[in-house]
Amino acid sequence: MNIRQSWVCGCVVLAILSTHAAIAEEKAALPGATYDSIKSLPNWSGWWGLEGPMSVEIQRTPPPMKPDLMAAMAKQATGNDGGFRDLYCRPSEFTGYSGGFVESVEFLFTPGRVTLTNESGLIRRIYTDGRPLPKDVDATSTGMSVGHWEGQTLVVETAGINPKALYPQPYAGAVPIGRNARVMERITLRDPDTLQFDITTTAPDLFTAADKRTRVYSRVPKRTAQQISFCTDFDRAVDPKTGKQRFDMTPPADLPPPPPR
Amino acid sequence: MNAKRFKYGQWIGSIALLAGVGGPATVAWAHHSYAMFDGTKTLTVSGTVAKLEWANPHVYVWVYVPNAAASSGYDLYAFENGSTGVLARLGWTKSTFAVGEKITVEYWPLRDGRTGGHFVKATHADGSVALGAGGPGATRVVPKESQVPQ
Repeated sequence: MNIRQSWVCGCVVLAILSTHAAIAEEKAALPGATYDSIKSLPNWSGWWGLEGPMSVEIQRTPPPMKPDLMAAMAKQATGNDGGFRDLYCRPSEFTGYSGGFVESVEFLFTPGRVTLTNESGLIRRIYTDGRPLPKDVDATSTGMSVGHWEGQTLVVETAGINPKALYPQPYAGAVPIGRNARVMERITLRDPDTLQFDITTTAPDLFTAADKRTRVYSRVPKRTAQQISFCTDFDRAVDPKTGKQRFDMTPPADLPPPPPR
Repeated sequence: MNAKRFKYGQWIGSIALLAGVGGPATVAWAHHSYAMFDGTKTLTVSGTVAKLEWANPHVYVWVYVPNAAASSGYDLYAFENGSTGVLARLGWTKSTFAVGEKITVEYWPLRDGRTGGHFVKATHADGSVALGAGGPGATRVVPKESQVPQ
């Protein structure tokens, strides 16, 4: 290698190094990229809950579901043809709903990531370190989420949701969300104790148009997490073998005798 | 105030009963459909608490209800309720009802006529009320925990 070639190589290496340094600097400057900068993020600590069941929300403001799927969901939701076992022992899935009525939700801030969990075991890892959403994302039960902060608003985009993941989770009558579903969320505080999710869900196999809705969560003070599970050893309401609902009145083994007459 | 004993009137005004807003077509469902309950009727029985079965996905309240025609003198009633998590938001704990205490339960009855149904609410002997969650008519908004007396 002659002097000229060495000079060119050195310039290239320097350019690469400086580019890497610039990118690293840019990422470090992103809100929430370091423990120090997390302090500048809004206070979303603790647990958050909805004030009503999503089943009611969906009936009041129905999503633009394809009519045959809506009919199938309604039939299943009000009937008893054995489909309830489909909800048993599934991993927690994200199809646009993070929980909140039965299971409260919480946010964990760590450098470059926001983690959203709920009491039924949902874990959504939202990368806020500047990485883009890959074009070809492996399908998972929660999809892959990337986010960024616009002021005090977290903007989240999710893709790669397992087409077999059920909408709405975890309700009876839920149907698969289908291929190429994507969810956009803008999450922001209305006031210190009220958190608003503006959600746009596109699911071409399920909806005829994008579903746009707003969900408002309230801070649940002094909440100790409660475990919620539909994968129980014994559910009096649903027979896990047949999937049919039931009302099992087998008395508990430790039931005391009736009071004396 | 003990969380297990809160006065209905203290916070009923702060929660919205949305059945009228949602209209008759609005039906809550959860991990099953509640089709086995008749949400158009609310019945009432009084009896003695046999057990509060604190479990997911549904809490059950078991009550001995006097019945002179029964061989034991009692019928055993079972009432399905919401999950532990949502009931905790309403102020419930696993000791909200003590075995042997007298309560009056309002419930949506089973359609098949058995002695049970879905819990709506129960009144303790001192007049305090525990509201249930879920069920065929459950369009009620869950109050903020801050609104539930602790």
